[in-house]
Amino acid sequence: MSVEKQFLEYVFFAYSAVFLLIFLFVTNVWRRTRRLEQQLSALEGDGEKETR
Amino acid sequence: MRYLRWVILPLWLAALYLALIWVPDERSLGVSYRIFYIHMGVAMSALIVLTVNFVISLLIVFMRGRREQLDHYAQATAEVGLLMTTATLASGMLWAKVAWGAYWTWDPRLTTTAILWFLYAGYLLLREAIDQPQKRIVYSAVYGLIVFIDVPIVYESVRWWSSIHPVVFTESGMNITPQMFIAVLFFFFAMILFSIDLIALRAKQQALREKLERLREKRLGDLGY
Amino acid sequence: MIRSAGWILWKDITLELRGRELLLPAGVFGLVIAMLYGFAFDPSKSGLHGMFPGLLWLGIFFASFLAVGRAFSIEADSAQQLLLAPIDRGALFVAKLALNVLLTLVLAAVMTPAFTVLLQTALPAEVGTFLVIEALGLVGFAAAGTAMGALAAQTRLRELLLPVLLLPFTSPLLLGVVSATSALYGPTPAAASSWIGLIAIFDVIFIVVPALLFEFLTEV
Repeated sequence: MSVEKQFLEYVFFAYSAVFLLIFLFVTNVWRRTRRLEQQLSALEGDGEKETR
Repeated sequence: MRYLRWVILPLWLAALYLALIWVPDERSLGVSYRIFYIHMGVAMSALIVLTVNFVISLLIVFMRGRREQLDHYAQATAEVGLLMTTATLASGMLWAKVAWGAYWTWDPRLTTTAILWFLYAGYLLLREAIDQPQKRIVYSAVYGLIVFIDVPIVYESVRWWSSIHPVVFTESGMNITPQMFIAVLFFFFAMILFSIDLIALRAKQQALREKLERLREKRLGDLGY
Repeated sequence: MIRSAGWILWKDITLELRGRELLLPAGVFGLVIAMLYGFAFDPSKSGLHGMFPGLLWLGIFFASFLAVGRAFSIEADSAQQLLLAPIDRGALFVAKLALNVLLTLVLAAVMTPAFTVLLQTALPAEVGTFLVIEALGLVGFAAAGTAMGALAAQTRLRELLLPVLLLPFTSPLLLGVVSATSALYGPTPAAASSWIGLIAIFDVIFIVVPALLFEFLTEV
């Protein structure tokens, strides 16, 4: 394998490593926010039922 | 804040185009030096975000008011700072393999950055381990003040000690060509705006969680527990 | 302030002399480390002597770590009473720091001879400088340990969290003491002085910064 191609591979790895890390973090935050919103709406829904 | 996301995406695409295609290859390292752009972008964001964390910790320790809100941002900045530090280490290690022939060397800058990673990982673990909210806010802020000592050391490490790590900002100006500077600037702004957006998102989530907890306690109270 | 610090220190020393809850386990652990090193690295090989400073200091750090981490847990159940007492918060920090320095010094006094015997080395020719390095190094470790122990004592995980909080901080200190000690064994013992400077800077930072911030911890 030529040196040039090997270099290109490392560039690809580095960029994808960073983007993968960021992607994992963002999806984690989004997932948790969605869950919190669900729980919140469920809790508020319960309250309305009781007061009715 | 809503519209920030629509700026970040084109900025990232532009930064990627500039860094990967527009800028010509370097003489000795060839195409591999293009890792520099993303590496520099995440590294600078990491140091800036952690500095913001330090300022927030200062405010929490020495000012009385709005500690809860500030604390959400303390958590968010530490997390994003750790994420950026991880990204810095990951991209740096891959570049080191090409440029120096090994994934890791005990160079001052690498060593201090590794310590930085452990310090902020410890910061987040400390936060997790304290249940009482008031205590968590103040204790983690105090720890945040102490761990920040390492951030200027990371920045200055290449200037203080003989290091094989290249220096970009020197007293005589920037150590790169104007073309490279433009590409780096794009990457830097893309990363820092993205960090701001992430921090805002994470802080909002924290506030949401707190609201949920308060609501839960109130409900339990209403039910007579 | 010095007086109340003295009283707290005296209380802790009396407790320690009666119960021997800190020094005995930590000291035995220190000796066990020396024995395990003896098994893991063949002391009859000459290569070990170059590694001796590193082995010694890692051993002392790990054993001290057990003792230092518990200094604030002594009154884990009665911390409120101690804080209610009309004493300066700084006095509490000074007292705990002094206790930790004493504990680590005793540990090192036991472990250093044991390590030299079991790993078949001798102390460096300049024993005086070596003792200065040891004293300064232990003050630094005790100071950082006191600060982090105060934080860790309030967490759910207690001592389990302490290694993560404390050990990354001590890495420059470890570098300093190991390099200084190695220099004493080397051809130019004078090279140790710049490393001693690094240790001293570490000591000052980790005594002053936590002492200033300690007050805020006791507020909540």
